[in-house]
Amino acid sequence: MCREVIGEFKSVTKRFGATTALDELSLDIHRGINGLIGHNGAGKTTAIRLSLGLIKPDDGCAKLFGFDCWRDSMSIRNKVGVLYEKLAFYDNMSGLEQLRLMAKLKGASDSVVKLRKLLCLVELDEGAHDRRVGGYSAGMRQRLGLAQALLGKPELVILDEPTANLDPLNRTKILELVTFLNKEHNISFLISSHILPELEKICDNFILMNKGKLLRQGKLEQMLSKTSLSVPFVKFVVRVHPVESVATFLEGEECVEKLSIIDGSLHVIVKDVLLFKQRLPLLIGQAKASLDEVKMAESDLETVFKSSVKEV
Amino acid sequence: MSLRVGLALLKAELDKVWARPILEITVAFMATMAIFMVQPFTEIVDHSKFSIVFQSALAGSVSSTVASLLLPLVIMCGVLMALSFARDYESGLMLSILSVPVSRKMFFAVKFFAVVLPLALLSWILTTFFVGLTFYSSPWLVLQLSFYALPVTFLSLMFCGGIGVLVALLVKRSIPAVLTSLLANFFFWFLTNIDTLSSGGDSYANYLCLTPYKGALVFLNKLLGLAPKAISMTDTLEVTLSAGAFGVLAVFWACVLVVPMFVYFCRRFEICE
Ligand SMILES: Nc1ncnc2c1ncn2[C@@H]1O[C@H](COP(=O)(O)OP(=O)(O)O)[C@@H](O)[C@H]1O
Ligand SMILES: [Mg+2]
Repeated sequence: MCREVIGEFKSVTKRFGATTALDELSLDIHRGINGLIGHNGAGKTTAIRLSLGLIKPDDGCAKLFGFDCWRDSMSIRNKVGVLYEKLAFYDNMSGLEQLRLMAKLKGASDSVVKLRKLLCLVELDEGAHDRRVGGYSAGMRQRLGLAQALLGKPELVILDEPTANLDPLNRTKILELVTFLNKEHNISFLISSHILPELEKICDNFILMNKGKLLRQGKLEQMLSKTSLSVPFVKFVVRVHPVESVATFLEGEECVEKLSIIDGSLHVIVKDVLLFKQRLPLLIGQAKASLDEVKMAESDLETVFKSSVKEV
Repeated sequence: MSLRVGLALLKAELDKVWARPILEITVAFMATMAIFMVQPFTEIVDHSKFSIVFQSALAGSVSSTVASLLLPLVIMCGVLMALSFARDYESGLMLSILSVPVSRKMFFAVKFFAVVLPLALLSWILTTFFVGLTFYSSPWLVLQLSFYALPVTFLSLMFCGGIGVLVALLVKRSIPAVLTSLLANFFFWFLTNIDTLSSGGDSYANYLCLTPYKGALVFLNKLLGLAPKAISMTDTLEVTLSAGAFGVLAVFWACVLVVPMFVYFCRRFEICE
């Protein structure tokens, strides 16, 4: 299925003095859930600010919903909700008042009851609605920010590192909420993160960035096939001693798809995990080797990301 | 629609800028300066001339009260304006507000007037109060004459507010911006407050009355119908130019920094903190 493209960057360059934050970046944002992935300093936040017309590209052209990001940013801001890494509110207001102000600014005429419902949706406890935002914890501010981003029926919601201040349980909850909103209310998302495994499960379109450049973009399966790794197999890293003799024994096994020695440990791509786990100890015994560690390799997205970074 | 948005934002800004001790400190600062200008009306005059002398004494009192309020106004306006812009930039609030459909024009105007308007109103109220302490017998005349304080301080505040915005948008950090704005504003106030008589010279007097704050005070004196104090200087600009000319001058100073900063903020300024 080919999804509609709602935003595109065409060789966008942005420099801050000597640093080049975006280096001829080209990317597409699709309807659905987009994951914007890169290390710290890759330029994710810069790309997001640029798409809302807060900074001006030095070169290239960025469009969202067909509007130019710098010149037509008002039209874009009418359709987009955003949650930034850096959260700022009117600290002297209560959570509800803050949300009401933002609703007014967005031209949404939501009633107080509806706003409270929204706060409950993002799981901000009822008791906190009327407390000063200045006294909120980082997690509560994050929820309030998320509620703010969802105000006024946006078509696209941009979340910049939405899980950074949350504990693992709440991270999952936020990501579940994202999936729910996408399915039930047809809201598209652009989520930036440097935590790869959590996005792997929910995104339809991945945008991998490094040092202001696009590495690769598309569906996970597409990207996996490009990196000479096949999807349905599970990767194991086996640290044994000596490596070479175990490798020769493993080579002929039918549960093994591919085998390589990287940095003194065995990287095995396995077709049949159960059989592999049965056979491994026997083979190690035959090779008279000693086993240090067996573990599943990183997630698929991490594999793609790392191999893409290496290719550059 | 956009008026509703503007008012909602203005209310939020007013609450933030004038939160707890700021308003109190400002009023105290202004009252401390103005109270020295309260002088009893003790002239003994001919009965037929009483009303003329009374009115000119009242006008003189308005003029000197406004002059004494200028320093606290300039300082507070410079500090609060720089703080308001730089703090929002630094904290990320500017980023949040400008990511919803609020135009930069409206954002700038709201932030600017959230500082300037209350200060102008305060200066008018305090002028009325302190002039009224002496001339309470004709409240109507007090109200009438002290009303002139409003446009004059408003225009002066636009100039020092412009300095505050300029500094904030250049420096972008709250504490350095506040200190720089404080110094810059004090410097301009100082430049325009050297005594004309003791410094001497017609050309120097001409220069002084063209400067922002002194020009505004001359404008006020002309509105109040007060004659220039320096009788010896008959052909200086202060004497020869009309009230209208000084009004134009005050508007010029009011706009000279604010308008370019407004255009810069709306067209070019990048929010990338
Ligand atoms: N306002 C700024 N001034 C100078 N450099 C900046 C500014 N904003 C971002 N950068 C630089 O641009 C690069 C990309 O930053 P950013 O977009 O924040 O990355 P990310 O969000 O992916 O962590 C970094 O090297 C950062 O130092
Ligand atoms: Mg970032």
